[in-house]
Amino acid sequence: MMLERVIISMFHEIISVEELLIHLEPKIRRELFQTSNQNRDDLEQHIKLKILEKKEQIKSINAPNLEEFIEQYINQTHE
Amino acid sequence: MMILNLIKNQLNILENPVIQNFFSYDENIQLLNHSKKHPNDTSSISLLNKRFHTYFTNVKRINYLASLIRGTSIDYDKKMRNYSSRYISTDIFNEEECLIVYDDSFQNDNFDSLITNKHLLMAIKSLTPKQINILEMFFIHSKNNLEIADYYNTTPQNVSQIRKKAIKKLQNDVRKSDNIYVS
Repeated sequence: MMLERVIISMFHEIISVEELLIHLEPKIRRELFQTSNQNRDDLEQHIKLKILEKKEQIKSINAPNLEEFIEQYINQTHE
Repeated sequence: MMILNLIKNQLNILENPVIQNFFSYDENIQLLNHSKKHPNDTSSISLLNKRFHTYFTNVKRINYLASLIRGTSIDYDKKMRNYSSRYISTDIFNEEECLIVYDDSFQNDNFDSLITNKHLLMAIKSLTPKQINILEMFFIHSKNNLEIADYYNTTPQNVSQIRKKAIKKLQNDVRKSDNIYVS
């Protein structure tokens, strides 16, 4: 499946916010059904704007590496 | 080395969904096996570390975005509902304008002008003219099965079946093009 390729690329590089926005297009379209028909276009714009507003915040999200993750996990379970 | 010992001591970490997903890919398992065989070779461990870091960062960002999208749309809908319940459109009280809305001039509406999703539009174009016509009559002009059946000189059951088949086809087509879009 095509989705598989995206997942595999997730191991190699951190995907940029703009690219994520493209990948999440189907998700956005699904959520448009939350509102009535005449507001959907507006909502789509609204969501995309919101994501771009939060761009810096999204960029600052960082994860631990494997060793750190396991250590954190152990510390958590021991507490 | 270090990682292996840690994992051995802490087997329930394998139940963690992130770890499970990460090691469901062969390459990562191979790296782990490689470091098991060659404990002195730290390169595979550092590669594993790096891959996990990139992967988990992506996962976290996608997670954040997904909840942002969901939250935004729920908030937006709430806001619009509040807005429309406070400011009721005064057009409704003006009967003349109300009549214009259902005027025949709107009979010319078709999917081309109403649908903005290009995948859906392409999928609709691939239907037969009869299917398109039935969908237009049903969804745009809100005719019921009986009226459409009268128009085509057939039974309402048949109309309903044609409509359902057409919608099924549209769903499949759009799903397919969504996947291509993702790649």
